[in-house]
Amino acid sequence: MADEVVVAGPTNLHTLDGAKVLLEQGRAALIHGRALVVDLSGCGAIGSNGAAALLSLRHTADSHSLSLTVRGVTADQLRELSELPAPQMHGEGAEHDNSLYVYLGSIAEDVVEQCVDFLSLMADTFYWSAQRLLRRGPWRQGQFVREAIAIGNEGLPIVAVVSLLVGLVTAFQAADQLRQFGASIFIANLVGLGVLREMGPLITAILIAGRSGSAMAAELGTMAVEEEIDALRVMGIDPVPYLVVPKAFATVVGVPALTMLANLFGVLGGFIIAVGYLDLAPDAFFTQLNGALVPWDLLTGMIKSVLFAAVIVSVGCHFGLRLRGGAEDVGRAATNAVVASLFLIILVDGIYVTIETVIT
Amino acid sequence: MTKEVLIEAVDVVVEFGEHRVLNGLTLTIHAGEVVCLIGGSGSGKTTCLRAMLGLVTPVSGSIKVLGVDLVRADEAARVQVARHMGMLFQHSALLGGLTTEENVALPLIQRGDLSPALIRSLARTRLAQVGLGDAVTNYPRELSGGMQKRAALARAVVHEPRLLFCDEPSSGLDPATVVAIDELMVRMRDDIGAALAVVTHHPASVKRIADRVVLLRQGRVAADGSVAEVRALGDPWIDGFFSEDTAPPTRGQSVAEALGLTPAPPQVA
Repeated sequence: MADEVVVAGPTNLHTLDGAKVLLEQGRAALIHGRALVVDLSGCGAIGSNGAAALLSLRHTADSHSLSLTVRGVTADQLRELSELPAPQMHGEGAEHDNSLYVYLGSIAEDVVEQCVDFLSLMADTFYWSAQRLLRRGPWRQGQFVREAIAIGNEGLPIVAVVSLLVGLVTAFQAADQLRQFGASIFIANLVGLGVLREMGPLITAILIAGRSGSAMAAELGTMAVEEEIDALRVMGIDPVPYLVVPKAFATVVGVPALTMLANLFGVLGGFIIAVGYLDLAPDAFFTQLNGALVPWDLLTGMIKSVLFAAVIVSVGCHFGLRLRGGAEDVGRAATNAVVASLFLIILVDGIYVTIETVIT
Repeated sequence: MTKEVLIEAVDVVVEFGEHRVLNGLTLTIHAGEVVCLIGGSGSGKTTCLRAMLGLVTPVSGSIKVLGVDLVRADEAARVQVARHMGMLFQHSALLGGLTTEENVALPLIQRGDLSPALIRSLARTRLAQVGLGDAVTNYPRELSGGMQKRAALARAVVHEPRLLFCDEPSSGLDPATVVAIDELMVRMRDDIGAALAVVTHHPASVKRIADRVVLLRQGRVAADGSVAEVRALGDPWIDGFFSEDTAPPTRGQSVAEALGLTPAPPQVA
């Protein structure tokens, strides 16, 4: 390895092409030598392009503990370099370590931070909700009513239509199979159990996560961007009881109520197929349905819907409250809230069903 | 007689990731004075305000507000201190779901010991004082930028705080409204006897309202004194700021210095 490598600056150093040539020659030379000398005697003006190339070489040399010397500098060039302010080469403008380990590490760090924030918010929400039930702490009744109307009333048509369609499709898919075995009457068991235990709570939760969970993230995210959350904190108002708890109560009341509706319309869909396609008598369908279902089937679906509601409100508020940045981040927070809610709803469903199966 | 110290920040360091925003900031604010924080972009002015409000937690150092160290205080102590502070945010930060009157009433409701009738009356009186007596039922989106600023000022002072913080109160406003907001801030200060800490880029505002000017540079105090005192320092940035031209960018190292060359002396025109 040579001790010193001299690179002559190109005559057009002040242009982008000239700066590129110097940078490429300089970096190649730094691989072969311990010290790089840039000779500017053959160059004219340096300009911001030439200065940027020189600074980049300086940074590369520094980061590899190599030396860089600039020589042959004319008076005009020195004046030019003296008048140009040097940018900070650390922080955002610096070359980042893009290795896989650093990338995975930063993802892991973010996931851990998000989990801690999320669990902390859930604990806070639970604490302040319990305080409210004990009639302590602040309470915004008007806000609760507005949120409940937004979730329940506005979500009602879509939940009803989708549940009806899912009931229809499920029964339709099973109808031919059941008829082949002369078991058409069991369509009532299939639809009743499937809708009450699984489809009703799940479809309602998915629809409300997409509709209201994203709206919560966007609303709180916008408040964070507009410094409204900070304004509350400055006034000594905790955002959790003030903003999150009314949403939590409204969701925990609204989602089970909508689930009941989804159950009704899902079973109605199955009933339409049973009567219209399988030619079953209506009273035979309901008699079979009545024999197939026990109260626990309805209750277990309701328990699930409460758990799903807790997931929706916690995730939506979590992504909204932790938002930092600008308006474009609000949309990202809403999308992330929906994706995370859907994942957690399915996860909670899986865990619940496993525990329920093991216990019973 | 020595004025009571309301804020005492010592060696405060605040970092966002790898970026150090406040770098050993030491600052004291006394009762009843108007302190204007000036400095270039990224010098740490807003972060300084946010740290004094407890919205940003320093990595090291201490910030005593009304005798309570915000860095080490528990939540209950912070809430107690918050009752004595008001903040006028750069973008007003009025809650969009509440009317102007409801926004202004919030700090009074938070006290928990006032009747709804008194709260309503106090909020309306403050709104009338800032010229928004007719806009009590309007939502923030129905107000102009200047009206939002005035409503936010009413909210910031309605609970008679001992400390009022203002983050660029004149940003985005026309010159006449800037003067009106300045006058309102000083009138509120006189009215409630609060100390004011104002971040501003308006030299005219500084001349109008400041008892003290604090120049921040690279996260620490670079100059502190009355307008006359800091102007006498001969600092090029301060001279540029008060000449009401565009403030010059803070000059650091030149490219020549970064390359290890001895810089050429500045050319005399």
